[in-house]
Amino acid sequence: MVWAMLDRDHEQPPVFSLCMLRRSGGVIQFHSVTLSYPITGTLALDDVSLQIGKGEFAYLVGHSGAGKSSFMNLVLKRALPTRGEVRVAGQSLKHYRGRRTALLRRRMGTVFQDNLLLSHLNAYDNVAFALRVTGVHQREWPSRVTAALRTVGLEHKKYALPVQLSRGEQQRVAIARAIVSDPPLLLADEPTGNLDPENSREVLKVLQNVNLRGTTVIVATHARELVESYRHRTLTLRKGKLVRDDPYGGYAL
Amino acid sequence: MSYHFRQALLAMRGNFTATLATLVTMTLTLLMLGFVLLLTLNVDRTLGQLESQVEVAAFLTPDADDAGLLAQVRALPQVREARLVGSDQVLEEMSQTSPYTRDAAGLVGNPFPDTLRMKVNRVEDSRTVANTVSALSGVDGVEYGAGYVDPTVKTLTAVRGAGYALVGLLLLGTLFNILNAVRVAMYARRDEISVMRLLGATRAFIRMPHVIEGLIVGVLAAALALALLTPAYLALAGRVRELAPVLPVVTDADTLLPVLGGVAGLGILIGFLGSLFASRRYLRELE
Repeated sequence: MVWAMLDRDHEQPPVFSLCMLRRSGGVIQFHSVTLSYPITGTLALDDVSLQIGKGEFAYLVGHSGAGKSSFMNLVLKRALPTRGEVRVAGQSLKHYRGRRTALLRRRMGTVFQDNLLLSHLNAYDNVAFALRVTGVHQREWPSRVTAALRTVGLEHKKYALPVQLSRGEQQRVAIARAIVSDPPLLLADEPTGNLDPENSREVLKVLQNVNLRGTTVIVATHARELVESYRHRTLTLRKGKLVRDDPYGGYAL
Repeated sequence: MSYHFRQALLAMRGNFTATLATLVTMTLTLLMLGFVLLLTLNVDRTLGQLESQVEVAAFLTPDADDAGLLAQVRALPQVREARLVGSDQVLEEMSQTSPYTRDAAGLVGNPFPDTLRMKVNRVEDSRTVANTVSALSGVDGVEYGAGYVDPTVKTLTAVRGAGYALVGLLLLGTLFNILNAVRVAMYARRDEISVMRLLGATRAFIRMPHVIEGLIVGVLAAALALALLTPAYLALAGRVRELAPVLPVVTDADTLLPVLGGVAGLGILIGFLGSLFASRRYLRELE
C-alpha cells in the first residue's frame, strides 16, 4: 500500500523494449526540436531533427554550450522540448510521467564526465546498486555484476573503493554500472572529459565493445583525436543547430 | 525492505541532531496531548458529578403564581427537572440540619418562602437559568451556588482550551521538525538520489527510507510518551484521591487504554504522514 501511495502515476504508455525497438524506425528521433531556457534566455537546441537507429554508434560533437548535454537531457527526460517532439523507440517522451519515466531510464545506460560513483561503495556494490534500485533479485547480482565488470576489464578490482581506482578505472566502473541492466541504449556525456589520452582510448574501446553487443551507443564529446581515431557516425552541433551529420565520421567544427 | 530500513537507520544516525530534535518535540507533544486528554476526561467526569448535584433554587414572593411559574421553568430547554417545594417543607428540611430553626419559626413565624428547585442539563447552564428565572414575575431571588460552580467551570474550561491550543502549536512544531529532519536527510543523500534517478529508481524507492525514518521516530516518541505519561498519571491520580476523595479521578483501564492508545497512534500517524509529505516535497525540490 505504501508503495502505491509513494508512486502516483499508473496510467502510462508501456516502457520501450527490444520488441518496440525492432518495430520503430529509430531508437531516437528528434522532430524539429527546440529547447530554450527562458530564465537565462539561452537557446540550447534550435530546430534539430535527426534519427539514430538501433545498434548505431554515434558521436555528438561540438564546443562547450553547443547543445550536447541538452540533447542528452532531452533523451533522458531531464528536460522537455520547448517545441518539437522527442521520440524514443517510437514513443513520444511527453507521454512518460512519474513512474514511467523511471522505467524508461532503466532501458538507458548513462555515463557522465563525473562518474557519479558512490564513494562509500566498492566497485562491485556500485555496479550492483543499479540492480538494487531497479528491483532485480539479489541472487542474480553476482553473475550480472561480474559479467559487467569483466566487460570493462575490472573483474579483479571489484572490491576496490572508487578512491582506490584511477580516473579511467572509475569511468569504466561507471560504464559497467550503465550496462549491467543490459539496456538497449547507452548515453555517454563527455565520458573521457577528465581522462588522459591513454585512459580515454581504454574507455572508448569499452564503449565500442558494448556497441558490438548490439547496444546503441551515443557519445557526446569534444575529444577530436578520439573521434578521428575511432570513426563512427558523427553529428556536429553548433550553437544549438545540427550543422553536420557525417555517417563516416570525422571532426569538423 | 531491509535495505530501506538500513538506509533509514543510517540517515537517522547521520543526522542525529535533527532526528533527536524531532523525537524530543514529538514526545513532548504527545505527553502534552495525553495530559490534556486525561485532564479533559477528569474534568468531564467532575462536571458530570457537579451536574447531578447542583440545583438552582428560586425563592418565590408570597403572592406568586406557584403553578404558573413551575410550568414556565419546566418549559426552559436547559432545565432537566423542576419541582415546587412549599415553605412548610423547606422549614422541615432546614430543621433537620439546624434543630433551632423550628424554635425560631415558633417565635417569628416560618421565614422560608415557597421555593422552585431546578436541575439543569449542563452545569454551565446554571447561570443562564438563574438569570432567566430571576427575571420572572413572582420570583424574589435566586441561588445556584455560583460561588463555586462558576469559577470551577471557568477555570477547567480555560485550562482545557489552553491545553488544546498548546497541543496544536506543538503539533505544528513537530511537523516542522519532521520536515526539517527529512530535508536534511535527503540533502545529505542528494548525490545518491541523483544516481538513483538516472538508474531508473522510482520515487517510491527513493522516498521509502525517509518514510520509514518518520515511522521509527513516531513509534519511539509514542513509546517514550507512554512510558513517561502512564506512571506519572497513575501516581498523580493516587495523590489526588488521597487529598480529595470526593473528586472522581479516572483510573480504570477500560477508560485509560483507548486514550493512551490514541495518543500513541497519533504519534505514529504524524511521523508517517509528516515524512510522506516531506519526502514528496523535497524530492521534487531535488529534481
